[in-house]
Amino acid sequence: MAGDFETVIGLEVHVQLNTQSKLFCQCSTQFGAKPNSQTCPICQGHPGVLPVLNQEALTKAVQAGLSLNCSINHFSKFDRKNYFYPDLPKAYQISQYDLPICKEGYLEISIGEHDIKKIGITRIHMEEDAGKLIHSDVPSINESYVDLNRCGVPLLEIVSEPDMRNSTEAYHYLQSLKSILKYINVSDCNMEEGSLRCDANVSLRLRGQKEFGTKVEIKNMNSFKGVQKALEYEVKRQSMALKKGEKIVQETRLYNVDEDKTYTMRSKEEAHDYRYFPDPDLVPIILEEKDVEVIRKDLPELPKAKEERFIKYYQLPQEDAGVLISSLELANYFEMAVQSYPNNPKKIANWIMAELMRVLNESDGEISSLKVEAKQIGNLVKHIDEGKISGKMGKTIFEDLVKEGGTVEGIIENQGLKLVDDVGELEKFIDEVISENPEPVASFKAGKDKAIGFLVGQVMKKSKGQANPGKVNQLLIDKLKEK
Amino acid sequence: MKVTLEVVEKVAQLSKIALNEEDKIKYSNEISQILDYVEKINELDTSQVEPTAHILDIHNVYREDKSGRSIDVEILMKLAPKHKDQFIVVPKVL
Repeated sequence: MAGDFETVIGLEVHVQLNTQSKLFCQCSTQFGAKPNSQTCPICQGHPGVLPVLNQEALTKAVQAGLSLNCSINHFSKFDRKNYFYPDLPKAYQISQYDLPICKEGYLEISIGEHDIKKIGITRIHMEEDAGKLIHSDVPSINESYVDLNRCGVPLLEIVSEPDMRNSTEAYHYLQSLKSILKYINVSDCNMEEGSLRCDANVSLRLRGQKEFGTKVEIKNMNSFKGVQKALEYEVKRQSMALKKGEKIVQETRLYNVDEDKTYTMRSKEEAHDYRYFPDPDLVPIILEEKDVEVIRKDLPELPKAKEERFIKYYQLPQEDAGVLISSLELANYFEMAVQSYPNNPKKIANWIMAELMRVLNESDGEISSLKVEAKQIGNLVKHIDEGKISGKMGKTIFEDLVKEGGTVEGIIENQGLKLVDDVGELEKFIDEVISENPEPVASFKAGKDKAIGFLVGQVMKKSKGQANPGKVNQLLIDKLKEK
Repeated sequence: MKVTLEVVEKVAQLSKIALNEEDKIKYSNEISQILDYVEKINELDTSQVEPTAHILDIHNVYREDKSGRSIDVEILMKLAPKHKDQFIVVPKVL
């Protein structure tokens, strides 16, 4: 932490809208195509071409704005942002300057156990992406390579207020933003594929001071954890400099993930001068209240509403609901499992959070690549609840489901997993446990019913988890009472 | 309004145009004259006028989100001064 200083963080996030075609032309946005195979005179920046706005991109921008509690500008337009760089063949990027599509929203993040903090969203605007530059690893090669496939792909730039006070809040902001945008299906938010990119502005000020300190922009962070670590490093760097009486230089720094440090980016000789002006090729967008309402009505359930529904409808603790709604896939998986066995949502939640999420963490984390079907988790809990298998057997079956898929019934059949119901066999274990544990036996007889749990556990242990716990319980009680 | 040589140099740099000393003086004078002419417009009271976003009175022109054919890579490559393995080659930028 920064000691006497307070950290101030604002984030600028770019997300790629998951449309079929580019923002102003019909070229495909498919990721991973051969270089320069998805371009046309419009996105190549030839003179005399006419860009036309992709309506779906506009709709998705409005959906994102509504989900982030923004107001939608009823009059919006596109502007040209002028700069020279080889990834931008027109020498200007079509963006939105003074009249962005959305403004003044907020996003709620959880801080601590029960507290919610609102992070303001200054604005959201639409813009086109630039091409991709590839650099050779060989220092003697004096050329770079341009792929224009990404040029013209629709982006949203989401600018937060400087409302975050530490790197953890920044991390939660990104998580929450990603979760919402994935829920409403406007972006895949995949940092590895570049469909979510994040720059951070960070400054320090003395605690209690109103004015902001000099801010530094950090770029080149390529994972959520990377953002958090880069910010932690930068806060430490700035606080050390300030304590030594040095001044913070307003600059852009690049994060180096291998060294976990930020470095000054070679500054361009000139401060940016983008000379924005309205794009004469594109006409303004006028959205009436009724147009916005049509889009609002079509919005799917947002994470927060889903969390509340999970708590109310499935009677889950808030913590569980929070985990389950963290991704739409996980939430859907849970609901499918519950649909197949509606009697015990809490236990299904437990299995998903403990076992399934462990498996997800060990693999690529994608629910869609799991072999175990959601309804089999419901089925598994059903078998345990009905006393057909023990919890321990459940875990074995679960491991099999993860590895091979299939059904709970099939695995029980194949592996001969069945609970021991035979009274003679069970009594053998019970007699042993009674003679080995005189103290719990005595305390049960003295009226402490709780002791029975321990004794049942001992029997289960002896049977290697194969005994039918319900039956053991009954037999034990009968036996202890008759003595 | 006098456009100084420094302003001309800055605009030239932003536009990636090479100017010699003679050019700079010439453009400094010409641009100053143009701006003076445009300055006349400022005499109008526009405080009650909405800024013009577009000269045509049309709005909301959209296309459907359908991906179609792009042009052949070979055509693009022919336009590039230099290319290699389907990439456009440019001087090293980093």
